Amino acid sequence: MSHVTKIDVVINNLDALAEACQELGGELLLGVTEYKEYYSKKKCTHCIRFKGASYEIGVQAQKDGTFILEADFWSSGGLTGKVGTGGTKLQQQYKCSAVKSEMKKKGFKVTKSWEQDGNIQMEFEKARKSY
Amino acid sequence: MGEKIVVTIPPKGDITFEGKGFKGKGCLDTVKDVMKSLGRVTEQRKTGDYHKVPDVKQKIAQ
Repeated sequence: MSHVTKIDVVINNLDALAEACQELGGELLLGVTEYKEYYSKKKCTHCIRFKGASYEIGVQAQKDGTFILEADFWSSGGLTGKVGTGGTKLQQQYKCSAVKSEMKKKGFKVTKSWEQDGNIQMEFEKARKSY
Repeated sequence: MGEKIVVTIPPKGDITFEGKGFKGKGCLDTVKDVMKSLGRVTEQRKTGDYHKVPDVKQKIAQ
């Protein structure tokens, strides 16, 4: 081992977010500018919808080009079961998709993936060129 | 051992990258751009292998 690095992730890759939503059975609806919560609708940049959940997640664009997620996680809205408390499962899945996407650009591919104590772990190796 | 990177993603908090089998700055150079595009680096720690010079066998293999 030569280096250990820790990073705090921001959401800046909508393709990775869409893939993460899909992994959890949901859908990122680009350009849908309202999301449902308790008994109203709120403005957003994009919307995330899960079948079986009556509430939705709003994706809000920030001035710096990143995005934040907002939603009402009240239990009757059904989101917690899909994306975890406070959306933690969705954020974790987003990180996986974003890391895979960025590592692929650097020529690495996932060779192993496993879960341990709630953590997702992925092992990457340099992809071999085929001739 | 070949060069591998193990990434740990917890439900909450920071992602951890661990380079295995890299010598010198190899690991850091590889993941620098990846880290930059993902977010804010909160901690970096060099391990013993960081200071090793790549051996001849490895150079030939490359």
